[in-house]
Formats: sequence, structure tokens, C-alpha cells
Amino acid sequence: MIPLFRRLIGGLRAVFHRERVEQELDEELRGFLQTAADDKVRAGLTESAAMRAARIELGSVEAVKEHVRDVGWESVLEQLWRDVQYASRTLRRSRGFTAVAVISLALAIGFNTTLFTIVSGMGSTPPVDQSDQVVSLTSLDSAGRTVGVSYPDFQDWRHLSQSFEGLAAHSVMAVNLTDRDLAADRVAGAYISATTFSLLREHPILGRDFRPDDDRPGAEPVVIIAASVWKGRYGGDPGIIGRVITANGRRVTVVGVMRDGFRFPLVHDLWLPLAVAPGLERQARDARGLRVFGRLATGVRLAQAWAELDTIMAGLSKTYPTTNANVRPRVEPLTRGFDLRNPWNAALIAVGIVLLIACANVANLLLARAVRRAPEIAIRTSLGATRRRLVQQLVIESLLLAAMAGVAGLGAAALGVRIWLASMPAASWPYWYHFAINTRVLSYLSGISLGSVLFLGVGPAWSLSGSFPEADLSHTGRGRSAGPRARRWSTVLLSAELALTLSLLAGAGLLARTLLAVYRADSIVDTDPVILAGLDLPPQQYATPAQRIALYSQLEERVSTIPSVQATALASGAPFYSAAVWSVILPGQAGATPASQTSSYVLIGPRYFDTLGLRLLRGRVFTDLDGTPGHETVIVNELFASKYLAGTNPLGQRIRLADPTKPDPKPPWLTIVGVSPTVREHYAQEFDPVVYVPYRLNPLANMVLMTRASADAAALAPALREQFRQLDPDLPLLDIQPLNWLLSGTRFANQVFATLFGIAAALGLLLAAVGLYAVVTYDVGQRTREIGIRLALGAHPRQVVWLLGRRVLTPLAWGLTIGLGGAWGVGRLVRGMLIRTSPDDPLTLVSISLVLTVVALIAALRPARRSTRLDPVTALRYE
Amino acid sequence: MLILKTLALEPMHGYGIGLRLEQISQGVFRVNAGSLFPAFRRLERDGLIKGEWRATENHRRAKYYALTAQGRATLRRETRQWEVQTAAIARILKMSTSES
Repeated sequence: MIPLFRRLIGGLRAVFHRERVEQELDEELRGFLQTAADDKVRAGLTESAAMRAARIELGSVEAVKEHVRDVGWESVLEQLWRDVQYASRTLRRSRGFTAVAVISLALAIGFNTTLFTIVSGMGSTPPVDQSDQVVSLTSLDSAGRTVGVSYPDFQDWRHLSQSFEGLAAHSVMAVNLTDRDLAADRVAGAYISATTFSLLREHPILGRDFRPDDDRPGAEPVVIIAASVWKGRYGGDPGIIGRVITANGRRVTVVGVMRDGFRFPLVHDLWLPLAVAPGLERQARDARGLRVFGRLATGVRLAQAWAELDTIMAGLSKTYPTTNANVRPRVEPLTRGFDLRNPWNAALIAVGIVLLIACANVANLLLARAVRRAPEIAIRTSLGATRRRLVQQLVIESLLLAAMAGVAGLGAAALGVRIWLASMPAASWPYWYHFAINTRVLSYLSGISLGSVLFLGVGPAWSLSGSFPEADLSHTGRGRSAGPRARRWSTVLLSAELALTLSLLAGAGLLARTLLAVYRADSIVDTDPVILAGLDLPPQQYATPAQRIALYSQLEERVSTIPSVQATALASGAPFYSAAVWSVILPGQAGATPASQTSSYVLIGPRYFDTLGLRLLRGRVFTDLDGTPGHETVIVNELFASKYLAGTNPLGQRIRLADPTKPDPKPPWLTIVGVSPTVREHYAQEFDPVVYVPYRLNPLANMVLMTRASADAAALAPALREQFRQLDPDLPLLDIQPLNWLLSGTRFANQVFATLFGIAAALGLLLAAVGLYAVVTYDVGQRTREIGIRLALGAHPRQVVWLLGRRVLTPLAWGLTIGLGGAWGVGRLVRGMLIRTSPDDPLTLVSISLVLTVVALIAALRPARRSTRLDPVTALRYE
Repeated sequence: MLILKTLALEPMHGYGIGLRLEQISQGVFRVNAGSLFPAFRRLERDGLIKGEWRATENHRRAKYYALTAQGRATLRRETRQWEVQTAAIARILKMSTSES
């Protein structure tokens, strides 16, 4: 302890009384010299000869001092400070270099940080107390697909399992709020087990939680609402607890209000007990539609709970072989169920590549600079600088660069996150997503900034400080050209940059082609005059298919009498967005079909195709007769015909369709009467076969009214509402909006990823071009005299351009070769996001290779061309 | 250790120490100033020696280094260790020569 303390004091003394300590050292050394010289005089030398001999014996006084200073710890700090000062001076002196290096690094760092903020925002776990104890439970059906849980299975799990503190199930629905004194409104709601909130460790801010009593058929109907509904719809009514509201046509009593920002399970604002969900008690054991989560009991691990459920399910499949054979449970952490991050990982890789390119670029610039600075280093070495000291100096310079880039990158990231938030439809995110630059993001930013220092600083520094001072001193500066080692490194770096850029271009190209394909395919639908309105029938009032068919046909009839309306039709969903997917059984096929033999299933009214401005390719459209008994007909799209009925005339052929969630042993035969063009029915997904079915065959309670009109949505809405009110005053029309809005929404994901990859590729291309430009410019600077001689001797300018420009060919060749391999990899990475585009699309690969080649040649030849305009005389004197 | 030994007799200044080392070792050790002075600084920091400005025999000012109590202890300890080690090495050498 004592020696350590003494060392500390000594060091502090050296720092604070620096001058005195230095002076003493000086004096001591001078004394040493004098005494040595005196000795030599005594031995018979002259005064001056003695002094000289003593000096030679001592060597460099400065070097000795440096060694002495190195003994204490304080010298490290002092050196560091001096190196920082020195580095900032050098960086300030070469402003162009500093600006290019900092800007390219800052762009890459900012882009990376933005994406990291987004991805970590989406990867965040729901804000649940001890969320690692909360698991989501699903079933794996006999085909190995992950499905939900049926109500009878859930009840059995709940009663038989011991591993859980509790289990809770929920299903979501839209809730129409139709209070007498307020305008009708719709909110997203959920039927939940009474235990849900307590398992999530959430409590109402007003009123009470559900009790087990509430979650029982025939219980007094109660509801819990979100603070946003309480404040927004009911004006923060202080007497909200106990108030009776009308939800989906039923009068229910508000018993609780949940805190702001809590929207379990995703974006839901109103909760009813699970037991009041319509038809729940009669639900079949194989209607697996509930989502279930549970909290593990203290000390129970996930695997144990899973094993226990496995045993329970094995028992159930013996008891109920028709519904439960080969159905197994699945238990995983709650967050896994909401993982949307896969395409984002691809995007993260893309921005990571941008960072690599930026680093390679700056490393290249540093390398060029290092070669130019060799004389300076040589002088410092001969004045007694140690190798460690030199490397330290250079690393500090890189650190300083990275620090500046990090700060600038933080600014860029803040901007990037803001742009992201501005372009996002916020309501569509689960309630716990937050995109903010927090400590995690900041540590990521510091991490990549420091990482880039290691990447770019240490290599050149090491190669540089290994050079010999004698050799470097004798060539003073300009005449020297980069040594073969530096040149090789620079070629390697350029090749890497170009290869990485090509991979990014591949991603951008493929995603852009996907976007183009989607736009082109969508353009066959005349979307401009089409207006959508949602319809959600309360099951109690319209319980039978006949009631619903009657309402729907009256509605279609009434709406078509509005003067501005040209055509109208109901459908189970608007195109482009989403549709049910059913299994297809083709003519001649017995019961079992391959799991992949599926088709989108869209219910439509007779004038559906008129409304969308589409003409059938073959056959006829539906009439009011289609879908009635004896007229079981369907229309398939072209893709369906070519995929499943290739080489035959589809008209008149008979197929069967089966709903995979509700197995029907004997689905009816359906006759194909028409073939429609291929219209996209899903978003961000490959085109699939579609079967259009008359709604009279299967009148669902959730439909969309599509209307083709010469008026816009705002003008049409009152007329629509009026027609609707005359049919049933309690039914609201929901989300009246132009089809175009929905359409652009469905392209959003494609656009986001195409844009992200596009920005990444553009940045990569820019950086690579800057890198090439800088290297050739530097070359020109180094070889000015040579160029002058060549020009003076009569070389053709073109020859000179070639001489300099060919420097770029090796990296370009390597970059293209390796980059095509990278493009292959990126193709695999983005495969899931591609629509109507092959991951090895030859057109894309050829065109991006061309783009890269052209940009590289321009970047390289411009400075080369400029060199030929040199006046030979000036060039020769250039020194 | 050698520096400590030279200082065991009397306080000395830098040049004197170098000279004495050379004399005692009969020219085997010629210690460069570049190693000597950092060693002084290190020993001083560790508290084994103590520097003091004094006038020399020919009336110059010089920094004289003297052994501290701790320095003396270290010297004794290290000398003993050295003797043990050299004895051991000598034994090993003798053994291997007798074998060959």
C-alpha cells in the first residue's frame, strides 16, 4: 500500500511541479555530462574534445529524458494529452481528409444507429413484471402448423396443470359502441380470462379487475375500458364506474378503467370477460382460435411446464381421438410470439455493410495519408519516439475521428428516427413499441464507433511504424510513391468496398423489382373511384345465414340507387390486404390433399368485378342466383387455373374447398364458371391462387362494402350512412375510406425495405466512388513528375489516363467477382420479401454490375483525365 | 540491485554510481546513462533511494542518492535471494558438466 501511495504522490508531483522536476532532471544530466567531461580532461583530453566524447557516451540527452519520464504513470496521461492535441492539430491541418472521413463514418454510423433504434424498439418485450416467467401457449396441429388453442382444451389445461400460477386465454374482436346519446364508434377489443390482468401484474386505475364470477356464462355483463376510451369517448366522466354502455348491441356495466398506454394484447382498448364471447360454450375441441398465455409457478422452468402439458395433451388425444390425435402443445417465451424482426435483421445486415464500406474507405484514406506522412514519422523515430508511442499517436488520431463521427452520427440518427416516426402509421404497432434513442442505443453507437477505430486505425498504424527511419529520411516526401505493401492493402480495401457495394445493390435492385412488380400487377384494378366501408353484424341480431343474406342483398340494392354510384358489391375483404386461405381439393382427388395446395378464399357479391373495373378473362360473373342451393359456383383467378388446372379448360370443372380451421368432412362440389385476372389479395406476400365464392354460400358477419362512385369518400359517406340507417339504425358503417388508401398501406412494407436498401446501396456506391476517386487522385499527386516526363516525351493523354485508370481494374474485377457471391447471399436474405422476383434475377444482377462498373470507372477516370491537362513544365518542377 | 549495492557504502551522484559500477565489476558492466537515470527514477519512486542536492568535491551541484531504510532491507533480501539462486545454478551446472 505504502509504495503505491508513494508512487502516486511522485506522479502527482511530476504533474503539478512539472517544471521543477524537469529542471532537476536537466541539471542532473548536465552535471553528469560535466563530471564525465572533467574526468576525461583529467585523463588528458582538451576541454572541447572531452565534452564531445562525454556527449557521445551519453547519447541523445532527449532520449534519456524520455526514458526517465516513461518510468512514472503520469507520463502516460501526459503523453495522451499531448497526442490528443497533436492529433487534433494534424486533423485540422488536412481539412478535406477530415471532412470526408468524418462525414462518411457519420453517415454510416447514423444509419446504423437509426435502424438499431427501430429494431430494438420492435424487439422490446411487453412491459410485464418478470416477463421471463410469462410464456405463450399454442398447439401444433397434426400437420405441424402452429395454431391457437380451443376453449375445451384450454379448460382442461387450466384444471389439470400444476406448473402455472395461472393460465389466461383471449380472442380479439371489433366492438361497436352504440350508446343512445353518443355517435356510434368502433374500438378494438378483446375477450379475456378474468385472470389476465393479475397474471400480467396490471391493475385498473379506477374501479376493479374482473372477478372469476364475471367470467362465467350468464354472469352480470361487465366491461373494463382503456383510459383512452374513458377520456376520449366518455369525456373522463368521473361516474364512469357503474355506467351502462352498449357494446356490440348488449348493455354492459363499466367496472374498471386501465392505465394509459396499456393495450393488451396488442392495440386493444376494451375488455370483456371470455365467457361472454359468442358461441364459446358450444365451441368444438378442434376450433383452435384462442391465444393463451400463462405465468410459470415459482421455481418451475419452461421445459418442465412444457413436459407437463405434453402429458396432459397425450391424455386428451386418447380421450378425444377425432379432434386431438397428433395435436401437441408448444410453450415459448411470450415475446417469441410477436417477433416481426426477420426482415429487419436483413436490413440490419445491410446497414452493417454500409458501415464496413465506410470503414474500408476511411482506412484507405488513412493508408494514403500514412504513406505521405512517412517522413514525419521517420523524423520522430530518430528523435527518440518509441514504436509504441507512434502507434498510440496514430490510434488516437483514429479515435478522434471516430469520436467526431460518433457525435455527428448521433445527430444523423436522431434525424433518422424522427423521419421514421413521421412516416409510420403509429396505431398499427403493439402498445409496448417505443422508438427512442436510449442508453442501449447509445452504447450501441459507442460500440460501433470504437469498433470502427480498431478496424481502421490499428492496421495502417502498425504497418507504418514498422518502416525504417534511415530509408524514409533519405527520401524527403513528394518523390516517394506508395510502397508495394500499402498499395496491396489499398487494393484489398477497394475490392472489399466494391464487393460489399455490389451486394447492397443486389438487395436494393431485387426489392425495387418487387415493388415494380407489385405496382404493375395492382394497376389492372381501377382503384381510384372505389370507396370502402366496413360492416360488422352483431351475432345476436343476425344469427342465421338467411337473415344476413337478406340484409346484404337489400344493402347492395339500396346503395346502387344512390345517383353517383356506378356499381357496388359486398366482399369478405378488400383486395390487396388479406384473405382467408383454404385448402383446395381438385377434381379426381380423394380426401387428403398436400398441405401446400391452398388458395385465397374471397366471398363476393354479384357486381364485384364491375366495382373494381375488371373484366373476366373467360366465363361469366355471378348473378343473384349463384350461391343459392343448386347453384354452387365459383370464379377462379388466372394463377389458380394455371397452377392447378393447367392444360385443361377450367370452365365447368368442379373443385372443393375446405376451411383448415373448421374441418368439414364433406365440403360441397363447386363449379368453376369464370376466370378472372390475377389480383393480389394479401400484402407483402407472393401472389397466390384465388377462388371467388358468392357470399350467399357462406354469409359471414364481417364484410366490406365496396362502392364505385363518381363522388369522393367524404361526399359519399352521408348517403351511404343514410341508406344503412334505414335498414338498421343500430349498425354503424366503419372506416369509410378510398381503396387507394388501403392500397398504399399494403405496399408500405415493400416500400420501407426497398427504400432502406436503396439508401444503403446509394450510400455504399457513393462511399466506394469517393474511395476510388481519392486513391486515384492520390496516385496522380504522387506521380505528377512521372506524368510530366511522359507527356513531355510525347505520350498521348489517353495512354496516361490508361496508366492511372488501370489501377482501378484489379479491385473492380475482384469486387465484381466476390460481390456477385455476396449478391447471391443477399438474395437469400431478402427472399421472404420478394414478390414475382427471383432472388437470382439475371436482369437485376447484370444491371447492378453495370452500374457499379460505370460508377467505378467515372470515379477513377476523372482525376486521371485531369492529370493529362497538366503543363509538362509545371509537372517537372513540381517538388 | 547493483545500484543499491554501490550506494550501500555512501551516498553518491549519478556519474559516480556509473563509474563505481564499472570499477567494481572491472569493466564487465558499462551502464549507459539511458538505463541508469530511468533506474534512479524508478528506485526513487519505489522509496528505495532518496535523492538530495549537494555540492560535489569540485564544487558543482549534483544530486546525491542515498539508500533509505527500506532500500537497505530490499538489498539484504535480494542479495540473499541472489546467493541462493546462483548457488543453485552453480550446482546444476556442475552436475551437468560431470555427466557429460
